[in-house]
Parts: sequence; structure tokens; C-alpha cells
Amino acid sequence: MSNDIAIKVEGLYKQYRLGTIGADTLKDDIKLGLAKLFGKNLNDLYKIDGNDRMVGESEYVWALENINFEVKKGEILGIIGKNGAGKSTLLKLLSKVTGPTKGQIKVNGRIASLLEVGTGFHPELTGRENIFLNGAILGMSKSEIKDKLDEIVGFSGIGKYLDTPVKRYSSGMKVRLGFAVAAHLEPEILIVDEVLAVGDAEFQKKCIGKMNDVSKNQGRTVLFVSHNMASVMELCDRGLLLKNGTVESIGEIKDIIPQYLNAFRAEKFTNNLSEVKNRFGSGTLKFHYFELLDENNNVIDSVLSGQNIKLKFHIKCDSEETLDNVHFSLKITEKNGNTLMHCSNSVTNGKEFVIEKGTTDFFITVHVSRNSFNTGVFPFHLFLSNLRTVYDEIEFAGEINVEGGNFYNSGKLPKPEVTPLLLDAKITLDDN
Amino acid sequence: MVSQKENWTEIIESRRKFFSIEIKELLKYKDLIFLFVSRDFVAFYKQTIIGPFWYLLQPLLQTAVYSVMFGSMFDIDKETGVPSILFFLSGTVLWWYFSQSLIKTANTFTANAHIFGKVYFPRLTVPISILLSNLIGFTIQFLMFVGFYIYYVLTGKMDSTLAVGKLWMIPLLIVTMALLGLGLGLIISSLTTKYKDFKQFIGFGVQLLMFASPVIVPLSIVQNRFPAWTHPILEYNPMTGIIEGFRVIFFRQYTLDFYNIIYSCVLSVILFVIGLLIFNKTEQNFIDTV
Repeated sequence: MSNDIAIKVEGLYKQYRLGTIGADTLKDDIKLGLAKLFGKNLNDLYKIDGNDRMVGESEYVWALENINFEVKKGEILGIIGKNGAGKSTLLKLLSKVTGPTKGQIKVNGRIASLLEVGTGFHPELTGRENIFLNGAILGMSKSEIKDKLDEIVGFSGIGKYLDTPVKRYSSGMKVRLGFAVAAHLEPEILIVDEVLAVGDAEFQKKCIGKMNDVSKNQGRTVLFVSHNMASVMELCDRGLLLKNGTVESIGEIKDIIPQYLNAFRAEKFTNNLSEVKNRFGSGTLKFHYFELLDENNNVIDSVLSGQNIKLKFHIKCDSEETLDNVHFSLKITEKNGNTLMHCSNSVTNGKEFVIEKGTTDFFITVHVSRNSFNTGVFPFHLFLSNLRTVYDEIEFAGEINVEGGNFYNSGKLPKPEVTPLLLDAKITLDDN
Repeated sequence: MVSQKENWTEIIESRRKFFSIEIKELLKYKDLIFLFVSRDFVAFYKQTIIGPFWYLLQPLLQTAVYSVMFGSMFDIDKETGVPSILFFLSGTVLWWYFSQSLIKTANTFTANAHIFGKVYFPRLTVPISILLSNLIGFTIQFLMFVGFYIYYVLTGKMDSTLAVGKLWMIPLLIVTMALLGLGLGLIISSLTTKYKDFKQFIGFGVQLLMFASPVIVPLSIVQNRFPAWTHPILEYNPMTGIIEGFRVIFFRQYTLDFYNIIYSCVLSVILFVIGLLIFNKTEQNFIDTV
């Protein structure tokens, strides 16, 4: 039934022109105009699509191609994808900031979009005046804003600065005021773009709470775009994964996020370690390649905080004799090389490996349960030796790419600047 | 598939109807228009000492300069029978409204790109609010002109020359002037989204246009004293009919072909409609090119 559908997108396309707009644009426009005027067969000059725009020339690019999806009423849809996948373009089309090149978006209900908070704040006007102005820009009427003024002021926490010009506000206050106005919009459909990435931790919590409230308790439809997998997982029911301007998949959020993480695959550096030049050692044992696996042995490219993972190393052996006392160690550091963790078979297993005579290759797997990395990229360094000889040592052999997962089941993580590692802990409040 | 009756509040499509100014939608955003007006008006004099009096100072100083420089040069008093102060004041006040409306509406897209790129609201609210907030400034300036006029009559420096029968023309001329400024502004604003040349042009273009309008030199003096090739410039300029038409109302002795006023009205309406059409076509996708 169409009645419980809030948004229906059908065959949506958006084209952008590459390069600068200047004299050439004018030349093209005139050429096209003349061709139209004299009824020339336009296909001889340019290939023209249904929308009278030139394509086929390399200077045009499709930012979105044939997008189709539906959003049900009361659903929170997370739109995810890498940079350049078309997320922002899709949001712009949904919020009517720019028009589609082809296709339709059918909407049931009033849409409000929050691509930015505090849009249209005028620095010379006071907080109060800006609440009215910003509210009106977002589509509220004056009386609506008047009714909610106290709530908005309370939510923003700007209190006594209400009648001070906004230019004297700190940037944090501006953001809070902006979000407070936006949060009190009452549209049937709310479109939100990563605004949660602003403000301090306490305010962020308030924002997530408000969004939850808006959708779960008031039954509104929310479209949410974010790179923060922790908040996407916490907030959204369903996910839409965009890749290169097309819909890669749509479905339950828990199915979509792993696909997103894997989307990084094959574009990152090679997992092949055999060709690394910058290494040290005899080469009797040599790291050949490595794989990052999830607990079901699926190859993954990024890791979620708290996920069970395996680091599997393929090692080539070039020795006629049995090697004993083979020591393997893995060091994980920050990008600048500061050591965060170190582990070796001597410590975790209490003893070294023995590699039997005749072995040509073997695997070493590091099993990590509930990894405690915060969001970030963590280089790792590899070392293989026995008591006397270093077989192979590679610094910065590879990287573990960690996306903020739902480590604490709270949908929240400390900022990566605060701590690279997470303490696996619960905090309780006790009476004595 | 069973055919369903689909009720959508809105359908966003690539091409809108050629002429689809949504009056209803504009009315829904009337609060926004008034907030824009008050923002422009209030922000104009925030943190100034004399506040709204700036609206008066500018035309006064301009009038003073023109009177000293051009008053005797063109014998305004003798040739037209109008005190030169009143002559220049009427010209500068009218020109202020037209030029401000034109310059500001012409910048609609470029000046508001950051807002337009983030939120949708009917783009036409911006030029409309510019017209209205300029109207406040114009009213202040116009009242000042009336004050001067009354002062001249009371102190006996001039006989009352008000053409009472033509007072009805005042609103007509103001509307014509507003439509002209808006129409040209909308056309230029739309062109500016693609070609920034127009932004450079508008500043001095308006200045040049002033000299092609009877702000400083009345049409009659141009026709009598200036070389023949300059006449059409003033005669085809739609601002000529508006400025001179205004003077005809206040100065009976002033002469003007009524045809000039009709020409101004018709041309303004045509430019306004063209402006609306171009603006309407531009607003949907301008953010991609601006």
C-alpha cells in the first residue's frame, strides 16, 4: 500500500559537470542553442539524453544512477557508503536543494532536512531573533516557533545569552542553538546529515536521544547519513548502501554494515607481503601474505570495535632442516609508531614453534576476541626469529582499519583522540 | 500489480512546469519573508550610532554634492522652475530604491549560496523580501522629500505646485519601479550563477545607468542642449518615465510626454515576467553551477 510509504524513489539520476565553468561553457551553450535553433540533428554534435543535457563527453559525470528504493513510515533508514558514493547528492535531491536530472522522488508528508545546523544565522542578530529566522528557514511558522521558544532555549542551554548577538557566541553555542531549533521541527520526514559529529559528548548524547525520541516515540520517518557506524547501528532499523552512485544493497542494518566495511576491499594496499622491500632478516622464513578474517573466516577489510577477528599470516619456508625455537611476534602501534600492544607466541603460548623439516609453507593465525580498538587505523609490525637468527622482520607491514563499532552496546565510543584503545568494562552505581 | 490510488504530498521531478510559481507555497513562507525583511532592516543599522538616520544621510549628502556641482551648471532652477535641492532630492531618492533593489536582487543566488545549498525554501522569498525592506528605506527617504517640499512651500521659497489630480500615479510609479528593479535583478541573478562576469558588471553598470537616467539632468535639458545621439539613451531608459513622472506630480510646471510613463510601465512588466521565468528555471539546479 502506498499509504504507509513515506518516500518512494524511482529511477533517480543526477549528473554533474566536471571542470570549471567559463568561456567554454558559454561556447558549449551557444553551440547547443544554435543547433537547437536550426533543428540540426543533435546526435551528430553531442549525444543528448532525455533531459537535453550533453552526455558522452567525458566532462559529465553521473553522481547518482538509477536509484530506486522505498522508505516506510516511522522507519529510520541509515544511508551509508564511502566518500563519493553519492550520499550527499542523494540527500540534496531529497531535500530539494538541487533537482534530479532524471527520475522521481515521491514524498508523503512534510520533509525537513538538516544538512547543517544553524543555517542562515545572522551574526548581528540576537539568539532570540536567530531562533525565529532559522526556524522560518527550516519551514516553521512564527506561531509554531513562539510556542516552542522555551523548549528550544532550554534544550540549547544558551539561557542568559538569548539576547546577545550571535557573533559573540562560541562556535559550540552556535551549534547547540542550531540543533535545538532543528530538533523542535515537527516534520513527518526528517533528513539528517552527520550533524551529530559536532558538539561536546554530552550534547551529542542529547542529540541521539532526541533523534531516537523523534522516530521511536513520535513515529516519524528519519533518513540518517553518517560515517559513524556506532551511531548508525544504534539508531537505524534499515540501511541503504551506496557505491559509486548506485544502490549496492538495502536491508536490515545489521546485514548492511558488514557489506559497507568490505566495500573498502581491493582498493587498499596489498595484503601481499612477499614483495615488501623494506625488511630485514635471513629470509629462511618469509612472510608471504596476510588476511584479516572475521570469526567465520570471511575475509574482511575493516574491523568493528569489539568484533572477534583473526589475523592470518602465510609464511614461506626455505630450509632443509627442522627449525625449532621459532619466535613470532606482532606489534600494533599508532600511526606515529608508538607501541600500543605487543604479543608473541613465547608469551601467549608459553613456548616457541617448531617447523618440521620439509615444510614449504605454513600459516600463523592470531585470534583476537573482542578487539578493543577505537576507531582508527593501526599499523602492525611483524617479527620472526629463533634464538640466534632473525628470519624476517617487517616494520609497518600492514594496517588494521577499525570502524567504531557498538563496543559498549551503548552506541557510543570515546573520541579516538581521547583514547586509541577501549577498556572492556562496565560502570555501575552502587549504594555502598 | 493492483493499481493503487497513490496520494503523494509532493513529487520531486527533474523538470518543473515552465511557469509554476507556487503562490500557495510562497504564502506558506510569508513569515520567513517578514523575518528576512526585519533582518535586513535591523542588521542595516545594528551597532551604528545614528541608526535608521543613515537612510536619510546618504541621499542628503548626494543631493548636496549634486546641487553644488550641477545645480548652476545646468541652471536647473531656471530651466525647470524647480528648486535644485528638491530636483536632485527627488532624483536620488528614486534612484536609491531602484539601484538598491537591482543590486541586491542581482546577488540573490551568489550571496545566499551557503543557505540555498543546505535548505530548501522558495527562493523567491529572498528577492521579495529585498523589495519590501528597501521599501521601508524608500518610505523614510520619501517622507524626507515631502518634508523638504513642505518646508519650501511654507517658507515661501516656492509656490505649491502639487498636481493633486495626479497623486494616484505615486503608487503606480512605485510598483513600476519595484517590478523593474526586481525583473532586471532576477535576470542578472540567474545569469550570475553561471557567468560571474555579471557580478563585476552590476556594480559600475548601475552607476553608468544613473548617468543615462534623468537623476542629475532632466530630460528636457538633455533634449535641448545635448547632442542628438544622446536623446534615445534617455528616451528608451525605463527609469526616465518613472523619475520624470514623479516630478510631474510634484511640480506642475514640469513637462513630460505621458507616453513615457506608459512605456516604462509596459517594459517593466515585460522584464518582470521574463525575470520570473528565468529565475524559476534557474533556481532548481543553480547550486550545481554557482
